[in-house]
Amino acid sequence: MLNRSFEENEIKKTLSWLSKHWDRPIHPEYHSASTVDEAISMLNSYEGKAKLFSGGIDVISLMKNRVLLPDVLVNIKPIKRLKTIVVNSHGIAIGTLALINDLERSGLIKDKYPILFETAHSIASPHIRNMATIGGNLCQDSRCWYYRRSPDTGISYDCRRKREEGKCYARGGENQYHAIMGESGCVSVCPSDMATTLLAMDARIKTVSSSGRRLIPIDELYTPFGNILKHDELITRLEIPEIPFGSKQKFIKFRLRKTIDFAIVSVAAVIKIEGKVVSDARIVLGGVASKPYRAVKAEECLLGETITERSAAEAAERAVVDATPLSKNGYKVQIVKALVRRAVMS
Amino acid sequence: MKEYRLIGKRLPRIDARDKVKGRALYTDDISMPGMLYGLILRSPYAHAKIVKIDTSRALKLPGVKAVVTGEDTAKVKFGVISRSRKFIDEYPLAVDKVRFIGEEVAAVAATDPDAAMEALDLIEVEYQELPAVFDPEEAQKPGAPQIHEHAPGNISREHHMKKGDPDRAFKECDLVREDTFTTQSAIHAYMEPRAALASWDLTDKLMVYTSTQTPYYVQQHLGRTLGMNPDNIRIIKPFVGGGFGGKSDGLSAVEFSAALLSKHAGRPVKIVCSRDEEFTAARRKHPASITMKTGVKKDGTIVARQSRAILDGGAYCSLGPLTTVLMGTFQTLPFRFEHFQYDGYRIYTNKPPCGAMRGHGGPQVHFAQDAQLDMIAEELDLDPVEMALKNGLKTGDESAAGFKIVSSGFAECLRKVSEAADWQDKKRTEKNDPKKAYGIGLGCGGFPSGAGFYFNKTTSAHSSVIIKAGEGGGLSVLTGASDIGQGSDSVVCQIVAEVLGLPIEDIHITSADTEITPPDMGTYSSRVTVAAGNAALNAAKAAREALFKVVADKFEASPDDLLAEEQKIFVKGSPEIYTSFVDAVNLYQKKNQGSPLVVKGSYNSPDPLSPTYSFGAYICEVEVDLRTGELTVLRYTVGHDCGQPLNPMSVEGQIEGCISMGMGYAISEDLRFDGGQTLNPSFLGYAMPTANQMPKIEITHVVTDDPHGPFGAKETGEGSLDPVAPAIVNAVYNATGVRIKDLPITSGKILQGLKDKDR
Ligand SMILES: Cc1cc2nc3c(=O)[nH]c(=O)nc-3n(C[C@H](O)[C@H](O)[C@H](O)COP(=O)(O)OP(=O)(O)OC[C@H]3O[C@@H](n4cnc5c(N)ncnc54)[C@H](O)[C@@H]3O)c2cc1C
Ligand code: SF4
Repeated sequence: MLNRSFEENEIKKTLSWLSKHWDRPIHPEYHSASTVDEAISMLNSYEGKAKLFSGGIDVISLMKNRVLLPDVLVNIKPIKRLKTIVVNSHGIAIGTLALINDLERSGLIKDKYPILFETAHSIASPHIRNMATIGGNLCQDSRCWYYRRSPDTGISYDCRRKREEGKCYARGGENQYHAIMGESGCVSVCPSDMATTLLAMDARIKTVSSSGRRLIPIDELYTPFGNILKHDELITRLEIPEIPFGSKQKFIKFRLRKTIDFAIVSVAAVIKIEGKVVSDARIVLGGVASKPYRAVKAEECLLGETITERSAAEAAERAVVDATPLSKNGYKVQIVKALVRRAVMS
Repeated sequence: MKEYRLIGKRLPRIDARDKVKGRALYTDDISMPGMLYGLILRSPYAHAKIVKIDTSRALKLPGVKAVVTGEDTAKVKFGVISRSRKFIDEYPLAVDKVRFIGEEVAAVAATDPDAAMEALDLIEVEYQELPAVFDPEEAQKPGAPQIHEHAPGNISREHHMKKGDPDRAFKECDLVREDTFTTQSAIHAYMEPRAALASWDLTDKLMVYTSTQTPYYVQQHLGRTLGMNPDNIRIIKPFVGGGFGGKSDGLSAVEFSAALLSKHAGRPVKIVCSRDEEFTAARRKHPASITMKTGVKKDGTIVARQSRAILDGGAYCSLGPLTTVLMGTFQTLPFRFEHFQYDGYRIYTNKPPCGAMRGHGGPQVHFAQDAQLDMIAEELDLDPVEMALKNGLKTGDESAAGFKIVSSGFAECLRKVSEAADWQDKKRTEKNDPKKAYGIGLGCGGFPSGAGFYFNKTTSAHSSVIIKAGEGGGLSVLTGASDIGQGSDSVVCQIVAEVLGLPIEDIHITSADTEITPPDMGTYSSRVTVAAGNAALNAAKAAREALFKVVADKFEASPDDLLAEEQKIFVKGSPEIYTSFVDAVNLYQKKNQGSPLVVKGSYNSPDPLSPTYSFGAYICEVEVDLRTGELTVLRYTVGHDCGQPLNPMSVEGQIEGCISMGMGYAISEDLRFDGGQTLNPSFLGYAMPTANQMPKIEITHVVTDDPHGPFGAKETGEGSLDPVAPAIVNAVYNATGVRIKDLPITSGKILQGLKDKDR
């Protein structure tokens, strides 16, 4: 109890600070929900003007940069039952409030699902992992420099992601960290490493909203401008099927520094091998599109094959056949190939 | 080499405990009763006329106590190089016009930071946008927007130097290479953002605590811009969390605005910059384009150099006019050139002003120089180390820019590092792994130990130190030299303690309070150890002389026969005849009608350029992933000649810091722009190396006893940066055959290079 009220006090202090830092005279209300239903009814009653938050890392930083200006904040951290992680013979069920750090620390996960451990371990820094929730990680917003630029020391960019009539500044500008796959009005990439790995693991997201429950496959969660969740819809849990014994699983992340940085490119691969040949493969690329990108053509070319330097190289080539890089990010194609090859051969 | 009691010893810093335990007070840690919080309003336009500023709404906001704009100022410009009027080009708060995004337009002070933040939004500024120019090449073209009236063609400074006849000499060379190198926009990223706390007393005297490298200049420039006698201004430098040249402009809008707001509000005002402000609107390093032509003989003897540099200066001078000169003169270290020509142009653009940053022009030109010499060595089938040995400046030489070398350990640095790194073997080993490549590269440097000239008109010495003895035998050392984290306080104490035979704990230093401490030009130009160190040495010797005189009288000995050691003064050869240091001080007072022992010492360079120069040779080893272009720095082997290292731990700290900064410069630090807007103003976007990227570092101190340095010491804070980046660049080439001429070395560039090579 003490802990919780301490936490809430801290949040309230931050909010009172933030409330003065808007460019419009609003003071966001702050509510804490202790059940899922309560959270939904709060979100619902503010008709889209409320923002849900869990770890708050992304929400607060967007608010500081005045990208996000909600009237109300709904904290779901008190919903204790969304914190659990259950590992059993069917797979894993992870509550949305599980911290990235919890995934990193779980011995069971490290043993049976090293891919998940590797991913958690690669995210941000220990401090951030200790605050960040898995649901928040999946739903975090774009890291595009133009999008997040604060007006406090210059220009804020009213780009396509913020406004339908807006232009995409990155397309003709600093796009070295942007998408190489897919065509859309916004060329920024999904920053979540968890999304990449969870898609390779064929995870599903359980959600609840005033219109009921849904089970959403990870790759259907994202749109080029965000995600498909409704304003009163809340992720409660993630379900990950068991990875059969003997499957390969590997997450590789390429970034500027070996810590803190987001992925420039990442690859998550889960490859099932039966009798020396590949019977199923899920190869997912991160940092290349607005959502985690399944390299279906690479997967297909591995099916029924044994894994050799040649088949790995072939898969790597097939992974990028649909790439359409922008002016400054052609190098990502090469890195994707290297990472796919390495993941397959691992 | 002589053995000393404290000099040359690995001693912990005198302030280490306070810092580690969080007891050291930085500007933001200091508060005053009734203090207000100030914030600065910055321009969102790269180039615009200020038509009108309406502060009335902001002033009405509860809690707001003052709002100031350029109209509330004396409209006096400042510029750190104040000897030349041309370089005084900046108002501390914009008047009529803004020239870069982030320029200071107004400032507010309120009872709490929230109200100040809200007030910023209520200041209404009407701008009339003007065409802006961001590229130095574009800015020089006819018809380009004019940024300053006094600078046609937007040329902020040009500098030309010539020795011999390079054009003729090239004809007699066996090989002449010309290459163009470019460098990116980098920034100091000191840990403590700029901060100032100002307050006035009722006799109209101003006191400012500020995070600065140059308290004396702040006093002078604040006096000028506020229209008051600088002697009525007291600048106190508390602990400072780094500067690297970013806090050496003599004045910043932060200090000025805090002072002006405090005057208007009649209460103390504190301003602390945000990290965003520091990355967007603070000073930075000059991006440069350097075209370098070098001619050599077949045996590797360098004959001639011709080079041309275009510096992207940003909107104001800052220290840039000097950078323009130094990018020429620094090329003449550490090698000899018979014929030398340099043409430097600093161009105004509508971007944040560039000034001094550690190495001050050196890192840019040494990247070009060492990369080109590496290419030349390869073409001639020579060993770069041998070539460097052949051309390196020796004791007694004079460089093409007139730098008089009074001690050079460069050759020894080269020999030591090439042996320690197993250079010959590693350089020749073929590394034919399809996945990974390993390489080794050399970087060389030399750097002045402080400039001998002045930025301002003054009759003060470069450094002065006052020593005052207490009757308990402790010594107060008063110096204007600013410890900003580099450890100069510790070194000054060490010098005084050594001379007087005292433990370091008996020395009490006050560094930089202009009311108390004598003028010192400040921390820049790698001058503090040599200049302030010599001033301290002279003062300590004066104290010793005064004490020896009274003690000699007592023992009826000659002062020349006395020694000061172990808190005693005794007769040489008769350790039983002594007086304790405390007794000697009290004896002095008795003999002088109770007047305290106060002595002073000062120092000016005997040479207008610099008294002496440090040297270094660095060997870097890298690993390159040939499939992803990922670059990992594995190891640095360093040979550094800083004369006599006064405290080897401090020297090593500087070298390690330089390696981290140089690696960032070479690999990952890059401020990106959209026009004049910085896009990545954060520690996430501006990728400084973190602890886990630091390679193994092996340092050899090459000890030369310098005739000018205190106890033979020379600089180490800046020269150590110059060789870092080129050593990586050359190692990448050795590993992959990819020659990087454009910093930083991204994986994209390596991959492109590998592709081009295969073609
Ligand atoms: C310096 C830095 C480095 C980082 N590096 C990485 C990295 O390398 N890899 C990586 O993957 N991430 C990285 N991150 C991102 C970090 O992991 C995320 O910011 C974090 O995971 C967000 O989690 P949170 O719980 O704080 O989310 P919050 O900020 O609370 O929320 C983020 C978003 O998710 C929504 N949300 C939260 N919970 C739910 C829910 N249950 N249902 C529906 N919507 C929900 C919120 O409404 C909001 O839109 C980095 C962040 C920083 C600051
Ligand atoms: S990539 Fe997306 S977020 Fe970035 S500028 Fe374009 S539209 Fe905006």
